[in-house]
Amino acid sequence: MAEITASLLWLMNFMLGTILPFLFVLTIVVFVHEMGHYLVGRWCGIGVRAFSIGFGPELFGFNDRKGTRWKLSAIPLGGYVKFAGDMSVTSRPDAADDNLSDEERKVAFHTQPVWKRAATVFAGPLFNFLLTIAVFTVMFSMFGKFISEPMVAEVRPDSPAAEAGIQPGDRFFAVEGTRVETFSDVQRLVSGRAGDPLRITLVRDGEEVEVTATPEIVEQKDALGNTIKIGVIGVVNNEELGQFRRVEFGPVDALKEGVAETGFIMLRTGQFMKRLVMGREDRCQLGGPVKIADMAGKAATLGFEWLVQLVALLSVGIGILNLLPIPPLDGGHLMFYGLEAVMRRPVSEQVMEQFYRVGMLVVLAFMGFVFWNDLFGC
Amino acid sequence: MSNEPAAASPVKPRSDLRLRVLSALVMAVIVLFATFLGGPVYRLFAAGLALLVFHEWSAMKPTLPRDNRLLAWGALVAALVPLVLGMPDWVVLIAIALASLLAGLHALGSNAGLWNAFGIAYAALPALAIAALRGDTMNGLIIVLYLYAVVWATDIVAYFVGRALGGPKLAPSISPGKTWSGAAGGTVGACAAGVGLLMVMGVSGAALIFAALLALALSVVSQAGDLFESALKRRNGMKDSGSLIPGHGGVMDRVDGLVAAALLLYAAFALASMAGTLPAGLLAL
Repeated sequence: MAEITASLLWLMNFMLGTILPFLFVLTIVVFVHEMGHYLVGRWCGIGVRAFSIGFGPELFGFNDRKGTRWKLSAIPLGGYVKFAGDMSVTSRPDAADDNLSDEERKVAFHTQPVWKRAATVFAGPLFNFLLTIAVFTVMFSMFGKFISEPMVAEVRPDSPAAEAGIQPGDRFFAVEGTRVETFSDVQRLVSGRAGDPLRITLVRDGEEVEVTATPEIVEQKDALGNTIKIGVIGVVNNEELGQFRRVEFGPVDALKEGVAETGFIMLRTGQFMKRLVMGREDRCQLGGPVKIADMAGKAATLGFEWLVQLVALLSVGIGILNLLPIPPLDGGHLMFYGLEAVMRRPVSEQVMEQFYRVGMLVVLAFMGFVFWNDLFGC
Repeated sequence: MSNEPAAASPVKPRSDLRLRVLSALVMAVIVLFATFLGGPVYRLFAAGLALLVFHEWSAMKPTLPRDNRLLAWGALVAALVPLVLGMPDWVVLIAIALASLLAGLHALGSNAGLWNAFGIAYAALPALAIAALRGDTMNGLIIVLYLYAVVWATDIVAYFVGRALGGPKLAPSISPGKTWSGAAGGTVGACAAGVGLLMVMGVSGAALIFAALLALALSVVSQAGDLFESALKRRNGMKDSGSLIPGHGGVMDRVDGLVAAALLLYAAFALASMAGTLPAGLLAL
């Protein structure tokens, strides 16, 4: 009965090779996010009733001495922190507010000044960004960074660079006014802007030359086997002109690089989302849970550092996603707190209620869309 | 107020157990017969189960309006047609989703409850699960027999271990009879039964170890499904889901564990099929 054995091994391979790394990556990112809410909430003196990894029914948990229930819940696609006085995980105040004791009300979330509530909510995405910075900092201090001089060794025929008049021997100075120090600086400025005419400043024989090139889209495979679409202008560097070398970082510089790298990814993500909404990006580049699970599986086969890098990338992505101004996301709450701070009184509950409902549908529709996309769209 | 002896009696426990065992054997024969045949016969069997389950589900809330119930019935039957015809899984899934959605929207529109809409999903999805897992291959037969072994062993061993060892209750507010010792015993029994079956089929090594772990998960989920169904009954003030099966009560009571475990097993195979490449000829959905 070799077939049944093969079926079982195939399923086991999927569980260990894909599901496990996926849960590992997702749990870390979710845990850090919720820890942000928890820690800052506690620092602000807000009572925390529950800290959950996962949604839905509780699998197991325990109560700590401060009255918080720490638990693992059945559906491993997120998590939540429930504050005192919250009716639901979307932090709507308990309809039976009068049932709260005075003691309970003092530490209840919705009775806190707006700045405390905003800080607690913002802390989730913030901790996600800090995690990414931390991972990159460690990676940079351990492995350094490979760089090369921003030189042109070869220009591909019929490429945007050829059309723009870029020549071998040119040195990149700036792209759209932004100084570039390394070849990858150029790549980064170009790759996200396919279709946009870019002002490129070169140094040729000691003189500054300005050209305009419009990157075109090419397909490449990244290390995790994904097909990615990026913009290129058709310039190739080489060992001789580029002087490929590894730069090492001390702790402070590693931190600076980590912050810079995280910032770059944030900008890039924002850029991608803007272009996606405008219809200028391929929606297949969007990754839903199936794609992420797949990437986690591939990263796991490449090695632990790859898995850790995926954690960093996912963390910053989830941080940004949560800051979108859609209730019940963190960004939605922050939007209301902003309004509250300006109007000097809370937004009416009915209005918030309506926004939560619509927002919830939007979020669910988006989740359904990326899931569908992952499976059938591409 | 007659002169009868005081022990004018409730049914003696011994013959009650005999009826239970007899009933179980008859059910097992029917189920196994359909399972061995596989293919369209099994699909018909699964659909039949779904109808019985929904009948009992729907009967739990008899006060719901008649048109609500009739529409749900119609939607369920319509959703089961592609299943019986052997159409691809995703077609059946969409049919079930649409059926539930339709029933749900109608219920919301007429201000009735969503009970029957949920019932469609509860009844139909496990039917799809077992039919899809079985297919018409030898592989599928073994997988489904493995599933039965795990779920039935969970119930049977839990019952006897619980009776023998007693101890703290598992969930007294939901199921007063269940104990932690029974739950643990049932899980161990399930692993033994599942592994035992596969060993007879020639499975060994890593695959067998994985099968043991899988049996553990399926057993736990099966017990959760049992508790879930018990909780539903309790909320509706019922002790048994029905009385179709002599000595056992309702159909839903018998399949509540299978419902949950089948869904988990099917989901595992389905997810694996979606994500990775399929080795040729294997059970993939």
